[in-house]
Amino acid sequence: MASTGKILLLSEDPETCNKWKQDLAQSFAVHIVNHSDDYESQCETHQPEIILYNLDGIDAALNSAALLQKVIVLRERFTEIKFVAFSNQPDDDLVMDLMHAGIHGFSSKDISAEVIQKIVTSVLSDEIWISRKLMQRLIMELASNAQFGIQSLNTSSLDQLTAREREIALLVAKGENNKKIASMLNIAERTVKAHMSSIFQKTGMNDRLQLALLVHNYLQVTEK
Amino acid sequence: MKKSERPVTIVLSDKNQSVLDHCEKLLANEWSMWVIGHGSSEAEVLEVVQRTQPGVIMLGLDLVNDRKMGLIQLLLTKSPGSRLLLLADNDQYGVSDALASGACGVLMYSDMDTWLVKAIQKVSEGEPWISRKLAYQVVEHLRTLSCQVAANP
Repeated sequence: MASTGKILLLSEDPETCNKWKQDLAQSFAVHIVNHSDDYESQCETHQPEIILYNLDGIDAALNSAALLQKVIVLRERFTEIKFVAFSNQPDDDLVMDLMHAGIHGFSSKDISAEVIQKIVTSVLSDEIWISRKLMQRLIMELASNAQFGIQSLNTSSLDQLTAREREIALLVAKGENNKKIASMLNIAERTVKAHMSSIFQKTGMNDRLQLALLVHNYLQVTEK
Repeated sequence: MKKSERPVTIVLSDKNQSVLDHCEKLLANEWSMWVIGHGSSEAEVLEVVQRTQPGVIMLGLDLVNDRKMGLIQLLLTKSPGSRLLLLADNDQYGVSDALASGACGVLMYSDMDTWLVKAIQKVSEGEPWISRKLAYQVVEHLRTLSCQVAANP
């Protein structure tokens, strides 16, 4: 498929650059930028539709924060350009930070010609390219940032509960009321209420619905 | 029986009966997937989900919009072990809300014939189900909202 799509390859690793150029040159106009000091000026000069950024190589000497900052600067300055990062040493947290910074995809570096063509075509067609697992995490984190519902719940607060409190929290998550919980656990209803007060205080939840959803989120995370 | 051998239990819910009938037909030959209940109203789906505790809840977006996503959260409290697969058209904003409220995936009505079985399988295994195109739209929408929230704390 012929296309006038312009691609800028940012990489300090010539082997990767040459392979990608070979894989993409039939369908796209490809320009390579080898030196990280030139990245911004070359983006300005060539105005590509998409940037493929190899995070490995010399940039691997940077710590995650510095690397992220480099990407943020490029992303903020060139907002119309699609941005895909590549690395053979993926760190899920760094990938998420990059996605939050606005990039459109992430992939490992050692991929076939067919796959890299698919990535470029997909992202240029307004699609996201990341793993399913990270896709779900990204949506949840963005929703939390956008203050959607209660998705910002920190499930680690459940670790502070005693075994009995966790047992009661699980029953609350199943929709049981205090009287039923007391009967099921063979304890007094006032004891259940005391446990509930402690559970609410430790988890920071305000009501049974919030607690139920916290437990639900925790179960989904721990099952994976 | 290994976890992978256990059939996936499914509750189907949509306002449109023909959608429910079509889903049943598509799943009729899937021996590892059992439809154990239906609902075409909020009250029906809440009752059947609480009673049956299905592995997967398939939920039409039109049912959800009446209650502004509260139905999703309510269903997940009634059946905390269930995973929710939304059936939707191209209403991207409703989809963003639903995913943020706890839905595990979104399947377009137009893709049901091709992808229904695989979508249910993936969601039941804990993987999300959303097309790359729809994910892009949802992510861009949420990014815009995040920026607005950040600008107006």
